[in-house]
Amino acid sequence: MSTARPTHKRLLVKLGLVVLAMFGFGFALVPIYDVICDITGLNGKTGALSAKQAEGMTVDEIRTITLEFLANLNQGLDWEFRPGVRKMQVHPGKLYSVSYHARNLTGHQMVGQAVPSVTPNTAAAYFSKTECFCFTQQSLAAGEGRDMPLTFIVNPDLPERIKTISLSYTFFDVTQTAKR
Amino acid sequence: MESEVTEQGSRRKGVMITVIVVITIALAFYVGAYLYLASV
Repeated sequence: MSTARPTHKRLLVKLGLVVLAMFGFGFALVPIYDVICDITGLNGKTGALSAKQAEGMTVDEIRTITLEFLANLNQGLDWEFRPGVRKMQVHPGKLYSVSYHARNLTGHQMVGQAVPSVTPNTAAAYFSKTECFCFTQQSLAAGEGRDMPLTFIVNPDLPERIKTISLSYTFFDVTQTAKR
Repeated sequence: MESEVTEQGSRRKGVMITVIVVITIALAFYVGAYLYLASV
């Protein structure tokens, strides 16, 4: 009996550590996910850049990349949402501005949050925005429409094999969360 | 006969402890995630 107790104590300590580690893992899951996405560019997460940093980039006039703009709405969001231009040719290192248009088709105020996604995934790390409507939540009154700006730059270090980048935004209804 | 009963009882105890440990670990994960979401 006296030899069995220490073994149980050690096991209990180990199990306690596992429980503690699991608690920490659960708590840090979202930040860990964000960090991994930032490093690898997974999930099409794009980076933000200051206008000053963007100005410091060298423009590659020889190379041309095709950019496709897509707009999606999450289920249950009765909005009209479309890009100002569907496609454009850009030079890496040069700052461009486009706009997306959103209109609230419902009879009440709604708040939406746009989530970007870049395809191919590897291009996400080379696509940076200095200004984006996705940085903040967009509140639209009943029937209100708005042109929302997007200023971006494609990093000249973008791998040569990538000729086309698709930028897709999906608007999610966050009205309930925004009320809190 | 008596040892068979004891063995069965100890096996049941082992299963119960395993279930409790698994539930506790899962609960710790759930509470961690819940607290994070509540904090943002």
